[in-house]
Amino acid sequence: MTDTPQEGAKADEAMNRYAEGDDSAFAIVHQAVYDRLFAFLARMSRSPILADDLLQETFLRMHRARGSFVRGARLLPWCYAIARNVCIDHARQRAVRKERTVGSDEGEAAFEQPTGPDADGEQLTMAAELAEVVERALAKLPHNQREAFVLLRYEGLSVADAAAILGTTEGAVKLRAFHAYEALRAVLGSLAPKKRGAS
Amino acid sequence: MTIDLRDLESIPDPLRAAATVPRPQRALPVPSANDVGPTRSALRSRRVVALLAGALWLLLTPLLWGYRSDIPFEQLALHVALPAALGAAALVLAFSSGKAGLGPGVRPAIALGVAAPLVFIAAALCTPCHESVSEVAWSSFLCGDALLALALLPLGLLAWAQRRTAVAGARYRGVIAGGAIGLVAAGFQALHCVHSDGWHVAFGHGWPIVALGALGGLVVSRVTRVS
Repeated sequence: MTDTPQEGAKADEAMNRYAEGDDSAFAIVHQAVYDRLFAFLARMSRSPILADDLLQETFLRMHRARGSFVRGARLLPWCYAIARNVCIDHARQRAVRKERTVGSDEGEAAFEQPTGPDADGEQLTMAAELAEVVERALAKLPHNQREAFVLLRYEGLSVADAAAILGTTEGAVKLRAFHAYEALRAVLGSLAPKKRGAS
Repeated sequence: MTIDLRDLESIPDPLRAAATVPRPQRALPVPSANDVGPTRSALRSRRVVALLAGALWLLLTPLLWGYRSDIPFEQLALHVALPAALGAAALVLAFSSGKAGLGPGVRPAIALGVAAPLVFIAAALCTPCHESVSEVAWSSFLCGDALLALALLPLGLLAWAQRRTAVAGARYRGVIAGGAIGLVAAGFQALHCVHSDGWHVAFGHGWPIVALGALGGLVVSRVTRVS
């Protein structure tokens, strides 16, 4: 994963070489962005199985668009932009086919919260409940708010990068993320009194 | 309203553990030959070919139709050079890589995309306007159709050269590219067009620019978007 600047620079350079025609460099790119893109697609699709398929499609599109990777650009925003297009296309196809909505509450294989040997049973239950509430609230957000929020909060991108990926202004990204935050805050706020009452 | 994005940190990540848990990576997909796009240098060559072919078409077609030799300097500047220059600038902007390599920012792109045709129309109206509405309507219809025909090939070439390269903002870049080609074509059209009335140039050469912008947004963007 491209977690450190050095790893990021190495991945950028690998993509640069791939864009120039060095096919062997794509293995480095694949390795570098796999986990980040999977996490993003999983958050957007809310299904690990679907995220896996969308990820494969993202890599195929990266192959197709390799020549458009600009020398000196950073790999991650470029990949996120492609992954976002894949999500949008999938949503459109689903709407056209009028398929059932894919998600954890519609029968798709949802994420299971991992449990560790040291995990406290009550804490785990509470964390799982909280996660479910946030996940449901996120799913109810308008798509543009959700993607802005996910990119900024969970993927840790800068506002400028998120704006470039979403093809909008930095102000619009901030506003969308803030609206998402307010909606989520309201949901969590309504949860807090219940928790206090229960304890 | 002040937006403090640090507040976002207070929202827990429901999938933090699950989405980031180490998992076996699926094998590297092996793309078919059709699925591997051109390299950067091949793409550059494709762009150069498209630009040269488009420019040649724009130069030669009015040559076949005939160039006017009696265009006054003022009209040469406002009806020919100005739209060509605005179109070229918009074209460069539409396909510039931007800071993050994802294309131009939305603000400059929309500003130029809207401003360029408006400047062209305003400049055209600065030249003498004497024709009646009916004359302008008929001549604009004929001239506009010719301008559309003139611009379609360069726009098609551009779409071909840029296919599957826009990873972000394909729609607005398509609109700007269409409008830009329309502006350049309007410049060449004015070299041939016998109507130099301000109303005619503003509307007869102006509506195809808008139509080409729409075509760019609807069609070119689909071709150029990474899919």
